[in-house]
Amino acid sequence: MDRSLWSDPLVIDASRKFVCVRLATYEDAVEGKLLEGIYSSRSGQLENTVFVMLAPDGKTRLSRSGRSPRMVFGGAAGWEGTVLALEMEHLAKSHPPPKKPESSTGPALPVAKDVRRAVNIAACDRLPLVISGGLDDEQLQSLAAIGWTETYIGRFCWASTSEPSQLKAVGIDKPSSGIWVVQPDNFGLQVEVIAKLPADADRDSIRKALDRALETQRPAQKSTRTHVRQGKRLGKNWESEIPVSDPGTPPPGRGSQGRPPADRTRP
Amino acid sequence: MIHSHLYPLVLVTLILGSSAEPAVDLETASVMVTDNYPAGVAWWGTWEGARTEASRSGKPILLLSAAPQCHGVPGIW
Repeated sequence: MDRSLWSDPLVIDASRKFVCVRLATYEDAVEGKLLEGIYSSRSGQLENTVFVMLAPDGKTRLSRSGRSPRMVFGGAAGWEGTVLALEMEHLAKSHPPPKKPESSTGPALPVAKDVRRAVNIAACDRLPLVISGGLDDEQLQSLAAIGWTETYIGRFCWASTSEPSQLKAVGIDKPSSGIWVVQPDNFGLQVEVIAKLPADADRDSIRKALDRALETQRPAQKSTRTHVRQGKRLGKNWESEIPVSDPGTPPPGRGSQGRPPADRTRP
Repeated sequence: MIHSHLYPLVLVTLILGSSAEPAVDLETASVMVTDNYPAGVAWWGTWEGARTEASRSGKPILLLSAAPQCHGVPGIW
């Protein structure tokens, strides 16, 4: 994934006019089928990355599909973000949302599939993670309303669970209902707790906890080559739900003694 | 798609247009943006969640997928 593309201010600005979904490839069998139907290699295998723009019905394509925005929209080196932002603005203008959404409630929390994957994704993004454990619908809606304010939008990853085992698995020793603001470790396997709030925490307390997380030093940008080499040495392994089928990516374990991958900045 | 020769013109419009409206809502901001965690794309993590939100909001969908591991090592796209 091209990290610089998605941190381009023009792209971020345009993204507010879209529902942006980033599926974790190979982490869900059903979503894998969906992605395969959108784009796959000549061999018919699901590739590491997929990109497409769709209408709100989730079916009608608004763009070609490909491995990346650059493959779909083009753009000279260094201008991919600008080109993508222009295409997004163009599409948003031709597909304006209704003046009033059908539902009177706001958006839900943009959670990952489960806590384990959310911790990994937060580590990939180098962002703090908010985990809601055992919250009722009203409490979740209240947390979501805070999460979607401009102060916090896009600055956190989110997860929700009602299973204490999911919290234990990432290193939260005494799981109980509540809101956990955490920082993932470098490999996205365990977490360090920044703040723990009760399930019925008021808005001010939640905001203070989120602010505390944003005051921490952000982990440094990672070098793919160094990260993979270090991960192999330390035995930090990840098992995906479905097999990694990208023809350019050897399955885990194969070639582990070989040369680590070159740093990658785009798919 | 936009014709490529129009990019410079649209870019100027985009920059001028976006400069008129601050990205941060100063009314609701309890902390100002720091270099630590600049604004980012708000990613939905599941297709089900994204479909529900697109249906609720009527916004088009930008769909991306990426593997949160490299050579079986997690913590990196």
